Amino acid sequence: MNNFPPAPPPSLLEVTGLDVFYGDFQALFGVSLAVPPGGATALVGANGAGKTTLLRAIAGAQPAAAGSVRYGGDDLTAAPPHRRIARGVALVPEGRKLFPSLTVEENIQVGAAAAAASDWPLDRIYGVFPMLASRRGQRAWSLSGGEQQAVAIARALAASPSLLLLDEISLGLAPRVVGELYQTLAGLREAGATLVIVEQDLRRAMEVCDDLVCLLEGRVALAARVASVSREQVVAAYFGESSAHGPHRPLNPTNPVRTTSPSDPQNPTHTPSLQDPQNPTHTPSLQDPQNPTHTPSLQDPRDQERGP
Amino acid sequence: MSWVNAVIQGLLLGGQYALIACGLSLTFGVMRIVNLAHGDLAVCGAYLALVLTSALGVPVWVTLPLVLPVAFAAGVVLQVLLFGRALRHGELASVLVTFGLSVMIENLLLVKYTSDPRGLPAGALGLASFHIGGQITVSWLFLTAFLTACAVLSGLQLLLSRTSWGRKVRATADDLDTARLVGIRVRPVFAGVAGIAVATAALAGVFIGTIGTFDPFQGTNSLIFAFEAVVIGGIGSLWGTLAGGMALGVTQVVVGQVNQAYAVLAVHLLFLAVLAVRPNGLFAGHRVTREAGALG
Repeated sequence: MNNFPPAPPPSLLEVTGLDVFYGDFQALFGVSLAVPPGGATALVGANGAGKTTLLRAIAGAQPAAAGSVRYGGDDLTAAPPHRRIARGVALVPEGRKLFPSLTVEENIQVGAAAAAASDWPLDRIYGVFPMLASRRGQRAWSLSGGEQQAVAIARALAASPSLLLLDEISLGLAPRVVGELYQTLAGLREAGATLVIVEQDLRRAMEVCDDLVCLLEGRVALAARVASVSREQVVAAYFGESSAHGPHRPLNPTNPVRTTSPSDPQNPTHTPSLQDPQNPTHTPSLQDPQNPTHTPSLQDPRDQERGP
Repeated sequence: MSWVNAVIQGLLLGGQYALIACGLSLTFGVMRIVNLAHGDLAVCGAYLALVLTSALGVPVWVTLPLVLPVAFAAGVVLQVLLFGRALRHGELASVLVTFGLSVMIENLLLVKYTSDPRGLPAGALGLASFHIGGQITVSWLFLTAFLTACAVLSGLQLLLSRTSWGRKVRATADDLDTARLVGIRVRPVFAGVAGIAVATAALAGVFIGTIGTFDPFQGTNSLIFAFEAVVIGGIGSLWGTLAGGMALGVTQVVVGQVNQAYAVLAVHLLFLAVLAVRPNGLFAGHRVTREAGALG
């Protein structure tokens, strides 16, 4: 045991008591979060838990009704997105949100609109994403899902960020492509970037990140070092079961997740009713890259996005 | 030969329609505002040129370096003070605001300048023409208006496709929310677009006043043609707007060749037919699929 734990590093990003509303609907309730410089923080939680809202609020796209967002010591709570980008906060939005009438290169260049520095000129970006260099003149929508995601990350890099917020970058992509994207992220971390990652695949999130924050219905259910929590604790927080690390929440007797099934005696702490029999250590609602046929999101993303 | 002449005259006329329509197309494409006062702003440009040309005693063309910057500034001010605020309350609010502006401009002009038709002196250019073959006569003034329209549309297209400002405009037109998110300051973008739209309208107004006459209510008439050119060409596409204007002009002159009484009616029928068959316009195929993709 370590008798003298190192003092926690000063936070680069500090979110305190954040409330966010969509009209009358409250999406975040007093959310607090601290991200140390150079680290990677995983933001997990069920659909609708408020992960995307939290990232958008940090990026300035969603106004805060209460609480504060501080970055590198500056209060950015009321700052518009372009000012936050100038300070070094860039978001890779959920669903990529590329500009369809712009070419790949124009999409990337537009990301530099509010940049205060030019640490990431096009050459360097194409060095990280070589497959984009040969497609620079194409319209963004003509690319594969993985390439589109690369453009979205490249667009955020063009802002020369020190903090990169990544919202579900693996959504709809093949496991191999996701692996490549995460390799790129590891490279960015080595280059000094701080990451906040929203990721459905809990195992990957815990592999890649140092810290983990689990949201449940707009509140922080668990915030811990990844090394100090077990998967079971995270899953419990994910589904709203009581946890030693999070605030105690009342049990909801109508929640089907909590019904115990005698068919799974090996994992009594899990949520057996949702369990995949082939992967007893996993909850099936979290993506499993080794079972691509089980994850409904692994279709060609272009099918989803082109729509009727 | 007279049919060839009609088509040529129609194309030249279509250039004028496209010149007034391009600002409308830009405003709708980028800001999603249907500016019902666009034609009235064009007429304001004509009155401003009239006031300046008689006060300074200079030819109409010399007033343009004054008229265009004033129109640009007016567009910026209108966007910042009026349209931008209205947009926050939805698209209907912005339509109502521009309608109110239209009524207000017409009545202010009526009070100040009466309803007498006016004309801008074109000087020697107004009477000069040249001949092609035996029967085709081309007015230099019409040709100047047409070439100006082509130059303005090409310039706008270059501005949009080649400059970093144009990149921001297109990104904003594609997806306002994401444009803000990646750090584009959309208010200055909107203000610039509105300025350009009103400046092109004023330029079109000066040609309208030079080629024909204008009165305080000319704006509504011009708006209808401009609106039809935009819709026929496909909303938000500048080349489509030019083609739409030409389709209107050719229809008007060719039908007028047969029976002048039906010329304008034919234009509106063409508009109706295009709306019925291809409601997205003749040249908007790519853009509309794309937008459907973005929405879907």
